[in-house]
Amino acid sequence: MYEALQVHKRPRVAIFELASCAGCQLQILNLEDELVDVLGLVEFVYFKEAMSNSSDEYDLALIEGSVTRESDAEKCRTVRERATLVGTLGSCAYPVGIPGLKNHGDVEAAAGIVYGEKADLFASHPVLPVDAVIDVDFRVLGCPIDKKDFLETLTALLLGRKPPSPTYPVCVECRIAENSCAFDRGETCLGPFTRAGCGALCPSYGGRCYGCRGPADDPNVLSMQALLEEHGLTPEQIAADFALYNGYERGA
Amino acid sequence: MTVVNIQADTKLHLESPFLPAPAEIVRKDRLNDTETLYQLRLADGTELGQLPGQFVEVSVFGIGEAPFSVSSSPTRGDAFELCIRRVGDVTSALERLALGEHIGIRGPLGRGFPLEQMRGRNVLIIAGGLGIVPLRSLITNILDEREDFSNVTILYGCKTPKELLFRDELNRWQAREDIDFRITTDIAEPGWKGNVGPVTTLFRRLAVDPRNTVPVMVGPPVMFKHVVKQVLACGIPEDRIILSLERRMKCGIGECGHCQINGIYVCQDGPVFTYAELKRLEEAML
Amino acid sequence: MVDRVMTKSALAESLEQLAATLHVAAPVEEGGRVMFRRVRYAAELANHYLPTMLPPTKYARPPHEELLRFSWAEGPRVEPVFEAEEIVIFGVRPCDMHAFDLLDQIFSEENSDGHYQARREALTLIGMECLEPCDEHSFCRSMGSLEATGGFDLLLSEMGDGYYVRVGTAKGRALIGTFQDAREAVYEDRKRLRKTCLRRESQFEHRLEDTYDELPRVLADSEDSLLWDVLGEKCLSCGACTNVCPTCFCFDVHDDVNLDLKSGRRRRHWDSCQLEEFAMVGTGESFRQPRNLRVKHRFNHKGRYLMERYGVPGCVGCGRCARDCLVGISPIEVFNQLKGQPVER
Repeated sequence: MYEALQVHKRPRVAIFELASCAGCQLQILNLEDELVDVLGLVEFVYFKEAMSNSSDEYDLALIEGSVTRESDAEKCRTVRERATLVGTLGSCAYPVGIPGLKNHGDVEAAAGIVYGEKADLFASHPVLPVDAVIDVDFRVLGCPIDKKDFLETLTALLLGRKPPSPTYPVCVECRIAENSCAFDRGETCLGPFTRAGCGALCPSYGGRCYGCRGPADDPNVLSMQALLEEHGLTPEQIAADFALYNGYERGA
Repeated sequence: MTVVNIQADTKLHLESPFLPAPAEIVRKDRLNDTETLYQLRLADGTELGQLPGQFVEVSVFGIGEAPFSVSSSPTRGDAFELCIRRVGDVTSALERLALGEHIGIRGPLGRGFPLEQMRGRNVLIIAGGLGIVPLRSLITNILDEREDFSNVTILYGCKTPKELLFRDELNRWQAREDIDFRITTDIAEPGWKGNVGPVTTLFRRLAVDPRNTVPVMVGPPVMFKHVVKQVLACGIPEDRIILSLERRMKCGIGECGHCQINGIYVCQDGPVFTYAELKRLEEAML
Repeated sequence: MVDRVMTKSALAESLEQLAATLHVAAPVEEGGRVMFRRVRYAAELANHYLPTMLPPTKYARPPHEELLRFSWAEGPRVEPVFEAEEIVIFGVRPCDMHAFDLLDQIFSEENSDGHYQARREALTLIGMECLEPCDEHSFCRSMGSLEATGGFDLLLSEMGDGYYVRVGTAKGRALIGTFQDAREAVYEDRKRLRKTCLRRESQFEHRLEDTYDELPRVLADSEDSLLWDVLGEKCLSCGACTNVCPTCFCFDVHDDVNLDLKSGRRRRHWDSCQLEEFAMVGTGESFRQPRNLRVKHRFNHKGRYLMERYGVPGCVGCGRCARDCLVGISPIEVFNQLKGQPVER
């Protein structure tokens, strides 16, 4: 599947934006040292944060953001049909990210808060990750995405290789970084649950992990919950902690 | 950082066990939907020098490295063959390479079949599925030196007739009078006239002399369980039952730990073992 | 090689002189954690000792290490990369010196792994004897690694306001030659050292009910112990234990490609038997998937397999894995429970 781009000399790339802050697109533009090389490898045909023209013909599609209304889902389906490979950018698209917070309150009330009296004009449904609507071939994770991750994904696809994505949790990278453990400081952290690949970025700057990259391949959820409870969180607090980024229930 | 160029230091002779030798793809034969037979020649003109049952690490630079057992016999000249199923990045990338292009080879690695101990004896070879790939090396070697061995029996089982590999050779083996070659498939397909059932069903009409027979088997874990039971029932001692295991031999030199089963490194201590060596190892899955 | 005696202030001065031109690494305290870092001044050194978060073996076996550089622009070209920085590590504790010994055996003696050898050769180890136990997690005495039996270039033992310095290698002798005010040890010094060592013996208790040479048998008898299931339910499979372990050496290998898509490098990265993907083969089948089996494998590797293979314990009793385990899995408890109450299925 990942060899699909091999037939193209310089594959055409389109980047689509759903409910998100567009920060992941900006991360691509932040690739100041590499952008020229990237342009030699691919041709951007749609990239709203960077250029004004657009095209319906593309080989590789990247979707940023979550699905919050039917037109988003429709957009995803069209993209899936037109593109050879479809990937997602950032936490809003997977696991569901900040937009997913809406799912934990009253969805209609949320529309009222955002759109005020005109709320009726905007059809809005519970927030979904992109892969709940269409098949996704790969994901670039993080809030926002990591620049190096993006480049590695791109080069892997251009060589016909599966994009690298760690299967293990953030703790692996956090220990290597010799960070002090949030649990040792009397705080809590979602590092043991969350997929690595960020280089334990937040803990490396004195923070903790909020789970923006979604679950690792086989997190021990029961033991994780027990650990958080042991560190003073109530079941409601634990649920809220997971809901910040992981507010979409899979396999439900 | 202050990088010290250690190579300039003459008292320390450094070698990288990870450095592959370039090898040219000289032939590519598609065997069926997923398997391709590659014929390769080391760029420096030397022979690979493998023993049947040994493996090599294959590099496609930029994609990665993966282990494959050598499928050709050392009796057959300076080129060697790998039969590779397309399952992942390295194997897919290999398929895209053209004749004349180069890949990297490390090896031969690991412990091969105990060919010397088999000379003068009856040999009973049991192949299941892809197990035929390393065994083809052994079979070809034995047939090329046929007079060194007593009775040679080969049992080969596959899921479906479609999955049978090396068909031309199978026909030649079948035609030979000096070996007993039998094929079976788990599921019959229209036109299949051969035996149907697991490879153990081929034992039914087989006379095995327990005093003088060396059984050699390669196949999936489930096959080992049944076939080992079968040959033990024939009265063959545990330390004469030979089998080869598949694990993730990443470094090939007993460092990286991926192929470890209990305390044993498959890449170094194996991949060929006797049943006696493995039977107490839970992770051998026998 | 004649032993030496130095005052603490003389040593501090010599270290600073060394650090002015060389990479000197030493235990430094940061936010309650101790870790090996590059230091320039003696005042940066940690006041009290807890085993460092990552062991000093990280300098011989870094988490990410380049093995090869390659390009296929004009036919394939590949060359090995041997890079090493000259580093003097100050304050290597005996447990970690034993770990260096084991890694040397695996990467230098069993294999000629030039990548490891280059880095290892560039290291100078200044050991520091332990006079009192670091905390409740260590069990070095039970693992036979309380005493530094080798592996050091220099070995320091604290005696009052000074150090007794033993010289282990020619490299150590050359180094001590550059230290000022290091006088030759005399009979009285050796007598004092002996006393100090005797006192130390009584400070360290045997925390394991077995000595390390009995562990292989205990573990072999515990294959079916229910303890593995109990630990499997607790274990987060976060890989902390193996990453902080001084004797863990497993790795994975990956290719990184440059943006020209025609060149790149092959690197190895620390890997862990506690992670699900570790024992997976190409076809996706895993040979050690259940968590309890992964935990069991780790303890067997540490207490049994390495012992059987190399004749030395695979665990040096530093206690790092227990200290960093979020769910409190401790080798002291595990080994003692296996010994004490063999739980049969």
